[in-house]
Amino acid sequence: MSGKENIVFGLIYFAFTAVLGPVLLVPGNGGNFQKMMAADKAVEAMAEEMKTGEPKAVTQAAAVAAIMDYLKGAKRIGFIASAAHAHGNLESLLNVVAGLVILTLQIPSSYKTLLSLLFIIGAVMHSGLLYLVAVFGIRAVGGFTMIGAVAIIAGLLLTGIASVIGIKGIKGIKGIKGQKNAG
Amino acid sequence: MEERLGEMTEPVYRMHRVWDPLLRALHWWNALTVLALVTLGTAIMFLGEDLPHAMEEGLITLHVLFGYLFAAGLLVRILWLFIGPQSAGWKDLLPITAGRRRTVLDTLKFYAGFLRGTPPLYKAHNPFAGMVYAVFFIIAAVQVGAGVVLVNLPDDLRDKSVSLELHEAGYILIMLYIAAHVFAVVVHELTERHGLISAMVNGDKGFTEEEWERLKDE
Repeated sequence: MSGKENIVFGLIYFAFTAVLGPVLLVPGNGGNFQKMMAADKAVEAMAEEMKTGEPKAVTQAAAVAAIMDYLKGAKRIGFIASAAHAHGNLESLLNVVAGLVILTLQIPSSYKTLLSLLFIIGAVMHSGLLYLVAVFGIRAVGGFTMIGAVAIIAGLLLTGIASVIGIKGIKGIKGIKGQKNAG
Repeated sequence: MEERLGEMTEPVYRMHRVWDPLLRALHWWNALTVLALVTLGTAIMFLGEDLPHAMEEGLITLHVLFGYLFAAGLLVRILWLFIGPQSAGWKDLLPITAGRRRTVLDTLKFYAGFLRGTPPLYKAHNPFAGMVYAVFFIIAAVQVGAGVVLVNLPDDLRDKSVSLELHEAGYILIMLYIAAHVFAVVVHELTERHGLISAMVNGDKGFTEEEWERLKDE
């Protein structure tokens, strides 16, 4: 693995995660908006009754149920799906950038493989698992997202260190240490 | 007389590269983060309730921070077992060849004889110690997993959680591992004289021509 895999993976993953945004978030937001309107209506009905005295228990219960329904939906769809979508986009782009950097590094191939794997594992285990939680509701896998987060942190740190020793110059570009202009 | 002088001549050691830079960096990274984790963990476990709440929270935050740093090192080390050079790979830890199984027996005989006799000969990792390292990686991974679960649990559920028991058991096992590791490293350094500790810094171990010849099959 030389970094090319990260670029390929990053671009394809970006296409998926970009599509999952409108598929996952827009309908969710639409549903949530309806729930929000229903909650607003139920609370308004209670406020109307309060003008003439104590509101009825049924009206109060309906208002509370509508608010809870909205909050549950907002929490489920809004938070996790937004996190998956945002991180998915970011991590796919990170793979493209990391792939380009890894391609230019002059380090042993096993080190390149390690860096390449860390970024791919990072994206799959982090935003990939968040998508599983958001799309299929498999909450149990949510705990494993930290493996992805840790892989990305390790990948960033190691690529930073590898860049110090591995960027030796690019042919044809003036001003980069240790390399004369090819022309 | 000449023979006697010959016998008394100090053996000539040549330095040979056994460990790559990333393996050495990961070893010390993991060692330092584990040291920080056990120190903070001990303070939280034994002093936690006597400390002001804000200080206890601060110690837990630091423990979690070092936990993530250790997890990063552990993950890279586990990946390096499969894609790194031979002396960093899983085959160098486990006794999968007849030669390495023989070294395990040599090591056990050496221990059973109270360190008298010939110390075992191996190039990079001692295969007996390698098995212990493999177990350590598993325990450490479980420890990280249990730690992550604990951090994400609400306070009232944390105290009753199985993860807490697992995390405390892992703490004891890791403390035992550290003691055994440091003791064994000192013993092997003094008896084998290949420069085991400095090899984890500069990557090189010293072997005589004859020893290196015997290690070629490894």
